[in-house]
This record gives sequence, C-alpha cells and structure tokens, in this order.
Amino acid sequence: MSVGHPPTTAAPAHHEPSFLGKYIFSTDHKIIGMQFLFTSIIFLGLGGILALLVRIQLAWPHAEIPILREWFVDNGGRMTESFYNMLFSMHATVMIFFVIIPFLTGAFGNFTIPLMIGAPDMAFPKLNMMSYWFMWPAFVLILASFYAEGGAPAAGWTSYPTLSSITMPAGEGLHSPAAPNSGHGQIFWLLSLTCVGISSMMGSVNYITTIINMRAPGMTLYRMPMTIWAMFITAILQAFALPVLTVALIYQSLDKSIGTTFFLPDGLTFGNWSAGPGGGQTLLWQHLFWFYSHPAVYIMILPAMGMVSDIISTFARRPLFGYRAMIYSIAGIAGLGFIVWGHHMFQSGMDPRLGTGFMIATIMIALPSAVKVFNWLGTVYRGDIQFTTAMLFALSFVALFIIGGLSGIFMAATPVDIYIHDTYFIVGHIHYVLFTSSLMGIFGAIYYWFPKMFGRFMNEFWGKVHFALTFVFANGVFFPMHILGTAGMRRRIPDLTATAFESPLLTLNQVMTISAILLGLTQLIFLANFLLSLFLGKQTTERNPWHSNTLEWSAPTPPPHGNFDVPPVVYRGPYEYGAVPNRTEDYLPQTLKFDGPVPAASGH
Amino acid sequence: MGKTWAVFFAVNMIAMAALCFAAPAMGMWMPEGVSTHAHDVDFLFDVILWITAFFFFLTEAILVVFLWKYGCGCKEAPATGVPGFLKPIAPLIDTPHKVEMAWTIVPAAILLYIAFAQIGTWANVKYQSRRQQFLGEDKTPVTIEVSARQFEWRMRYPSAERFREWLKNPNDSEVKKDIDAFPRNPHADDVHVVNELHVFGEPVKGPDMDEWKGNPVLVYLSTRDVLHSFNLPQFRVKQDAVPGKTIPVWFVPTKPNTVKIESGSSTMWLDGRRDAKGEPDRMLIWDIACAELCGWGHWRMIGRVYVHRTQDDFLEWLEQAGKSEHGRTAMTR
Ligand code: HEM
Ligand SMILES: [Cu+2]
Ligand SMILES: [Cu+2]
Repeated sequence: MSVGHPPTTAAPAHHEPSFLGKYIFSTDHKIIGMQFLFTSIIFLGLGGILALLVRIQLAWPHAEIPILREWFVDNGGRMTESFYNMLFSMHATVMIFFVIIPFLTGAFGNFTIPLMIGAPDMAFPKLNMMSYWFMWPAFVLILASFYAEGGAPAAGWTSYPTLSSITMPAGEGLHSPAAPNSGHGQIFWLLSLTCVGISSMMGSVNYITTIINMRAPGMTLYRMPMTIWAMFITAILQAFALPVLTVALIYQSLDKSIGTTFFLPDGLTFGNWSAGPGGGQTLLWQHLFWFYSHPAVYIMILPAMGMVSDIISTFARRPLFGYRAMIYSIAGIAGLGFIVWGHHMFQSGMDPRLGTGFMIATIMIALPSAVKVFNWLGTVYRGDIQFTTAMLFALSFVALFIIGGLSGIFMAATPVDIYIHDTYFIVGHIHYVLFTSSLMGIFGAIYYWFPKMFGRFMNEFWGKVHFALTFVFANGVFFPMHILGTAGMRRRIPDLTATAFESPLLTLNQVMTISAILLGLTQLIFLANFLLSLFLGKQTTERNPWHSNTLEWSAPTPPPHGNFDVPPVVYRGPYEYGAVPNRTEDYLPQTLKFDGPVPAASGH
Repeated sequence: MGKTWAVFFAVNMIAMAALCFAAPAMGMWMPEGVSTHAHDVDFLFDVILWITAFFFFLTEAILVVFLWKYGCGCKEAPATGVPGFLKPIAPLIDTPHKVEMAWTIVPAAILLYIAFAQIGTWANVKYQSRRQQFLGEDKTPVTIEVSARQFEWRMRYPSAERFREWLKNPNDSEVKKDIDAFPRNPHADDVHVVNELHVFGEPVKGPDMDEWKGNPVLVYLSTRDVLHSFNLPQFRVKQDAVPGKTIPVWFVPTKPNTVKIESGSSTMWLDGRRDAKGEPDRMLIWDIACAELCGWGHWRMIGRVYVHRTQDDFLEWLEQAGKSEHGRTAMTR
C-alpha cells in the first residue's frame, strides 16, 4: 500500500470503554455518526410508508384499501381527509427533519469531518454525544404525536398559521377549532422540532470549531476536500438560520398554550366560535419559517454535493474540475440562500414589489448551481470512469439535479409561479432536489464509506440492481409530477375528481403510484444489502480500497478510537488523480510526499 | 460497462423528454388560458421551457457522451483527444480558464434575461399601482368581495341597480370612491352568492369577424378563519387569502362560458357552454379551486367562474340573484 505508514504500537491514550460507553453513550464521532445513520434509515422506512399511503389514496381515491379499511369503518372503509392531510404533513416532516438532515450532517458530517481533516475526534466530543441524544426527545415526541388526541399534525410540514396555531383556551382542552389535528399533535410537533434544532445547533458549533481548529498539519483550507468545505458552510448556515426557526417555534407554542397572538390577527371566526382579540400577523410565521427553511433546503443538499464531488473525482480518476470555483459556488449558494426566502411567498399576500427582488436573487442562485454541474461534467471529461455503485449514484445526482435546478427557474419566475405555485410542479421540484439528488448522494456515500466504517464491503452486484431500479422508478414517480403541475393539479389534496381540470389526471397518477410502490420495494434490496453486509460482507482491512487521496483512507480500516495510528501530515490537495511520470499508481494521497509533477488539476 | 450505463442514462432521459412532448397531446398540459394574464404568463412559461429544455439536452447529452467515451476502461485512448462533437470548441476546452469564464458568463446573461423578462407581467398582475392602468381608466370593473372560510367562497356583489349606476358613470369620482370602499361598506341590498363568481363581457364588431371583449373584474379577497388561496387556473390567477387582510385581485376574461336558458317560467344560467343548444364542454368549466391547505375539506373547496356573454345577461342574473333567498342561483350543482 502506498499510503501505508508503518503502524505504530503506541496507540493514543484511549482506554477500552465498556459496551454502553462504546456504542450507546459514545463520544467517538464515528459511533455517533453510525447512530445517526441507523436512526435515519429507520425513519426513512417510516417516511416511505407514509408516502406510499399518500400515493395509494391519490391513485384510487374511492377504493377501499385492504388493511386501512379496518381503521376507517366509520368512514365507509375509506381514509378520512384529516388522516390524509396528516400523512403528507408527517411524511415531509419525517423526511426533512429526521432523515435527510440527520443523514447528511449527523451521520456523514460526524463520520467524515475528523477523518478527512486528520483529527482524532471532534473538538467537543461530549457536546457531540449530546447532539445525538437530543434527537431522542424529538423522536419520542414526533412518534407520540401519532397517538395524541386528534392525531398527528395535518397542517403541512410548513405548519402555516392560523390553521396550525389557532387553539381554544387551555380551559377548553387546547383543541383547535380549525382542524382536529391542530391541537395536541401540533404541540408535540413544535416541541419535537425545537429539540431537533437544539441538536443541530450543537452539531454545527462543533463542526465549525473542529474544522477551524483541528486540521492536521499541512491541511490548509484550500487543501480541504469538498465534503469538508460543504459541511463547513452548511454548519455556518445552520448556526445562523436555526435561531430564527427556534424563535418561530416558540412563538407558535406560546400562541397555542398561553394565548399570545404572535400569528393571530383580530376577528377570527370558526363556525360560530370567535377567537379573542388578536393583533398578530399570519405572514410573520411564513417569513420566520422560510428564513430558516430556505437555507435549510441548502443544508439538505450542500453536504451531498460535497460528497458527490469527492466520489466523482475518485472514480473518474481525474482532478476535480475547478476546485476553487466549486468552493466559491457553494459559498455563493449559501450567501444568496439567505436572501431568497420570499420566493416561497410570492402568492402569499406579501408586498408584490418585494417579490420582484426575491425573484432576481432566486434566479441568480441557479448560476452557482449551473457552475457546479459544469464542473462535475468537466471532472468526468477525459477520465477513466470506474462504475462502482457509489459512482453510479453520484452520476445520477448530477443527471437529476439538473432537472431540479431547471424546474426551480420556472417557480422563481414570479408570473409563472402564479400558475404553478401550490401545484404538483413544486412537489416534482422538491423530489428532484431531495430524493433524486440528496438521497441519491446519500446512497452513494453509504456505498463509498461503508468499507471504512465497518471493515466490510457492501455487495456491488445488488448495489447496482438497487441503483438501476431506484433510478428508473424514482423518475417514474417524480418526473410526471411536473406534468401534473403544468396541468394545474393542486398539491395536498386527497382526491382529484372534484374539479374538471384535475379529473383527467387520474390515470397518470395511477401509473405513478405503481412506480412508487416498486420504488419502495426496491429499497428493501438496499436494506437487505446493508444489514447483511454489516455481518457477512466481504471483510477488508485494506486502508484504501478505492485508491482515494483523502485522509480517511490513510487511517486503519475500520479506524480505531482516536482514528489515526500515525498522525497524518498533509502535503498536497485532495484531487491529484491521474497518471504522472515516475509513479505506477494513478493517485497521490494527501499524505504523500512526492516532488515530481502532479496531474494537471484542470490546468490552473 | 460504460456504454451500457451511458445508454441506461440516455434512455431514461429520452423517456422523460418524450413524456413532456406527449403530454399536451394527451390533454395533460396547461388548460387554455381565458384571461389577459394568461397570454403573458404562458408566453413566459414557454420562454423558460425552451431555454431550460435546451440546457437539459445539452448537459445530459454531454454526460451521456462522456460516460460512453470515458467509461470504456481503455485508459490510453481517451486521455488525449477532444471528442468529435466538441472539436469545434477544442481550443476553448483546452484552456480551462476560458471555459470556466464562458460557462459562468453565458448562463448569467441568460438568467438575467429571464429575470428581467418577468418584471412587467408581474407588475401588471399584482402591483397595486398598476391596477387602474390595467383595468382601464374609463371602465367599471365588476366589483366583488370574496370572503373565504372553511370550506366555501362567499361572494358579495353590489345590487343590480347600484352597479348600473356605476356602469353609467365610470369616471365619476364618487363612483370610484364607492368601488374603493366596497369591501368596507356592506349595503343592505348587496347580493350574496356562494361559490359562484359571475362576470361578463360583450361581443364587439371586429373588422372581419365578431370578437368578444371581457369586462375587467376586481375582487376584494379576504378570509375569516385560515389561509385559503383564490386559484383560477384557467385565468392564471392565484392569490392567498390572508386573515386580517383584504387583498385586491384583478383580471380581464377573454372568453365566455355561460349561456342563459329559458325553460317555462324560470331562467337558468349554465356554464361549460358555447351556446344554448350546444353540449356542455369540460374545457369550459372553470373551477375556483382553493390552493392553500385549509383543513380537511380543502380539496373540495371549489367554486366556479361564470363568464356571461353579455352585460345584459349578467345584469339579469344579478337581479334574479338579488331576489333569491338562499344566496344560490339556479344552476348550482
Ligand atoms: C436552482 C436552484 C433553485 C431554485 C431557483 C429554486 C426555486 C424554488 C422556488 C421559487 C420555490 C417556491 C415555489 C413555490 O412554492 O411556488 C422552491 C421550493 C422548494 N425548493 Fe427550490 N429552488 C432551487 C433549488 C433547490 C434545492 C437545491 C433544494 C433542496 C435541496 C430545493 C428545495 C425546495 C423545496 C423543499 C421547496 C418547497 C417547499 C414547500 O413549499 O414545501 N430547491 N424552490
Ligand atoms: Cu426556497
Ligand atoms: Cu383550501
């Protein structure tokens, strides 16, 4: 092994902890990363089941669904509208706050940051442990909301007041006059997300500190791999945006419990029940919510972009094209990301002149996104592509992020958004950026780092089957959403036969639902591959199975507590792939001291 | 391997593009636009569609070609040449700085064009300052207060008598004031209707054929409980109703869909029709489909737009609606 430094016996001063200390209350970033990984996979299953129920209802709105029929005997065997609203609200909540964000920042942020910068652990290991354990109250609360009186929340993942927030006074049982699910369930939701926010905040200060302070000697900022740059900028985004969400959640909790009226104007009437004096602003919630949640959509993709950059460069055996441009475009996306939240509110009653400003900023955010796509293509150019499962997922990220980015331009254009806002076009956009981009990137990252994490390989054949079927069925369910949206189909409706313009779309919806069910079944292949590989996968102690340059591959496999047997010293950037004179290998690990010419990194 | 995967990506992309081309023919595309907004909005949609389609094909084609060429495992060959289809820009590609500049500046210019192309239409549809200009200085808009609630649209019209006065003196400053104050000043003789938005136009003699011109519509939108969204897909109108606010919305219809039918002693107005004898046409049924989640009945919070062929039809309907007790007129489903 070219990377191999002779293993030293002088292990860092870490004593062997007990099982509880090692796997449960661990302060080891790798174990914490795995904890996030496992819980995210479990919630992915839950979110997926909710999504399939949504799809089934949409395709066969008047049918009695086997199993479900028993739950809804009172309703003639059909799912109630409130139940349906609960399904999509909780699907989105679970996928966003309990799957994508914990996968990216929790699982991969934790696993990669110390290893890729050559540190023994995070700057604050105990805080890191706390950040995982603060997810548990969130897990319990969100699951408990399903059993709350009235059921889990059904006001959308965006929880717009007044539907979500109007509540009868405590003396009357904190029920909502607007919707049965907006009572106790909604309060659980608010508390749960507050805990997620605290957890993320602890993670993000830790990541920022670690990346600034704990880099190995020689690891200058411009030698950091894209994964680390992305995690770094994401952590900054989180640190600045989260307080605003937390404030909004607390305001809504107060509105619901002690009768404040932050989001409630005067004169609200529900049937013959009238609310007391208000004086608040419903739109205030939307501003606060999107001031967090737009940056949050970048929190949900930038780390995936970083990881995909590393995977593509490794398996194309080419230097990442335009390394600096990649960093600046991530920074550009993050910076602009703070001034575009209003694009979710074009039709909300916000002053339309503000809409014009938000539109220009939003359309310009497509520019750094485009630059990144061109750079990935430039990386593959003249490469020597190895089609591993990880690479296939990374390539599909590029191929399908293009669609998500381009659909964004339609919705950013204010007049066009008049027509497509709150239609399936938005739902298509969301799923192209979050499922076929972020989640594809996450799958790629799992296949890529699995050997390092567990000292075993995942099965490549079944990995490719998983990839191919996921690719086909994901496009099969998500692409037609753009067509539905263009035909005007509204989002968040359980039955499209109520209007003349939506009714003809039923057949297409049925095709999509079948595709969705197959997509769900395909993930069982992944689950089996993942679980079986943990115990039966081809074992390896090879440090650098993919012949990659970054530091984690110079640590033992799997890395012990403390990570490196030899403290790494960095001599070069992370992307020097390709043939060079006087070397047989086509890569130059960052720890390698080598004075010969290096592969041209995109000619700079 | 590379070739197989290149084909796999290509086939998927082509299938998706094909769906886009086939969808309009299968009746799954934007419904025909029937307001003056629709013309502008659809144009902008098409501009963006063609630009994005171009970049979609360009980038996906490059990806597929690269997978095909550089995924063959035959290391020696590809590292040298520029692939055939890129030959014309080979010198550019071999100077990464230039190519980076190019792929930053060109998209930037296109995106800026897209952004600035939107501003005028957006202003016409939404800016308060453009309202008068858009509706026409010397026209009296059909003025309606739409008040949303779970799960209904309640409409309030001026009485036929009062509206006739307005029509006669469109430029009178008192009339203008009256129209502005309409949402704050309910009158005892106002006409209340549920889930029906009635507006009108007038046939006019064109140079070679008869045309039809819509009368401007001004809606004062409000809600008394939760958010709703006043969504008229065929008119390309969408505006959230916000508790605590009254938001003006305006448009001009370009096509009628309602006919008057007299049977025995009663008169009915039916939408979805070109003329009194014709069969109903689904494309002429124009729903008001609430587009903001407002609770369990959100999906069926649906009204309809009735565009009367003539001012007289409309006034006659308004008169009759004023006499009906339950705020519903004859043709409610
Ligand atoms: C080229 C870049 C992008 C542009 C121009 C863009 C633009 C927009 C616009 C204008 C909307 C609001 C549409 C509406 O409600 O009418 C929107 C919604 C959304 N975008 Fe993007 N977007 C881009 C990239 C992304 C990325 C990278 C993500 C996430 C990873 C993302 C996630 C979302 C989500 C989740 C929503 C829907 C929120 C909801 O209403 O539930 N977008 N986008
Ligand atoms: Cu956004
Ligand atoms: Cu609604």
